[in-house]
Amino acid sequence: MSVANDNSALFGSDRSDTLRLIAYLIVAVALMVTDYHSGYLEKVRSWLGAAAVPMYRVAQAPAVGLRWLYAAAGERVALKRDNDALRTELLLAQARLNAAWFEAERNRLASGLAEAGRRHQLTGRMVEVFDIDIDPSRQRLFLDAGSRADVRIGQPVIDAFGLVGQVVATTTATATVMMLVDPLHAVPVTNTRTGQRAIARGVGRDDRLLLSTLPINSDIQPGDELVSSGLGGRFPAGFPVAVVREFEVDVSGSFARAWAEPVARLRQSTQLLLLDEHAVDAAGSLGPGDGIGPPVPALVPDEPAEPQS
Amino acid sequence: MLESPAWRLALLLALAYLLTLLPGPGLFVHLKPFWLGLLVIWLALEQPARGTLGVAFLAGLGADLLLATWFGEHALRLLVICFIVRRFRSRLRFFPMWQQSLAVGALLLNDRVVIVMLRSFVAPVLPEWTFWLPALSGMVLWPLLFLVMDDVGRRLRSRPGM
Repeated sequence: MSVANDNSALFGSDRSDTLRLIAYLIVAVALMVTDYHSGYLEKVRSWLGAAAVPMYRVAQAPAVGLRWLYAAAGERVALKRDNDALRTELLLAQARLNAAWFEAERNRLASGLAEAGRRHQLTGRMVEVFDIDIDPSRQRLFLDAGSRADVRIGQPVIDAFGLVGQVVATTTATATVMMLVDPLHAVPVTNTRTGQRAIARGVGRDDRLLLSTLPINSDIQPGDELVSSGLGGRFPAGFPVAVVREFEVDVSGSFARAWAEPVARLRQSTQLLLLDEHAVDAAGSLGPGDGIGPPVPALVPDEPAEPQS
Repeated sequence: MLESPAWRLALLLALAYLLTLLPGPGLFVHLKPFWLGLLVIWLALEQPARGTLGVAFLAGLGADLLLATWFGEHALRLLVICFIVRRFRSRLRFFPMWQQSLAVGALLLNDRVVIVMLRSFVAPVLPEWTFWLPALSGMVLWPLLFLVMDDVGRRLRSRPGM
């Protein structure tokens, strides 16, 4: 106490500092709670957030420059452009292949089941990832495209190896991706070997997902591949998600759990594929869609609107 | 324009933001110190007229916008750091450098604990050991940073009165 008084005698304003601290702390906490629970600040963020883009560009300039030098040194700039175009194609092809393979596998497992199975035509586009660091302990990525480029909250994001995550916030010029290893993220998966379904949750580490509260007699072995099951409608079915690494009985002894390792190279991609998903045939589109509510015809006739007289 | 201390402060802040965003090569990202925290510590120690809680709060809000954390997260972290430094300013200033470094390390470690606390309100957190490294690197960098900033500070001080 006397020490604190010494300080105030020497440098003054100790008590007013404390009051100010309390006031600011209250404001900070109020802001955080508002931000977490309501959408007010999302609006602010979506407008102001775009102002941060120049900062991102400057920050990633050294890394981008190095990459460019590397490409130029091999006189491969033109080749690289072609390469990029081909890679987009390849990613899409691979994604379609995964979906088709999953469909076949599911038919084999569950032939006779009346489930028609929603068929999807996958389309997507490549989006640049900002090569900036936003804290390695947070499982987020920033995309160089926002609501102005028609990026929507909830869109799945994949790389050539598997599921990366989904868009959780957009500004007019950027979008934030929550990776599937984020502690707030969960994805419904299917074991390709047995067809068993589960939920894979992030725990905040880049190298693991948790499948908790599995039945104790589950047939899961290390090495089993988990793909997205398509339940919930957020992620299309058939994308590789993770590989099981460990299977154990949990502390209570009445459930089992498994640890799995994501297959996507989460932080190594400079480009990711942003998926749009829509049903192929009109019959398929009449089922329940991604949201809740009456079914909406997915196929809008693509004709120029005739002015009705 | 660039002569005025307010502008210099803005420049320093912009530099700290840039360093924060800069991607490190490979595993160096885990070693990246909390630049904004170091800046706030230095301001509160050496430039008490500028290193106020208000400045810390606003700098934090800027970082929240830039890094898409909740509004208020960085603000709260920087407030805590700034307040502690201002509280013990008279003692910290007369510590020998190694002791001051240790104090800075403790402050930054406390900051990591604050992060864990804030995040665990939403979801259980299980930080890897690399999570604690920025406190260490900040501590090691402090003496060097202090020397550089001393020079900057002399320029800042050359024109008192914002």
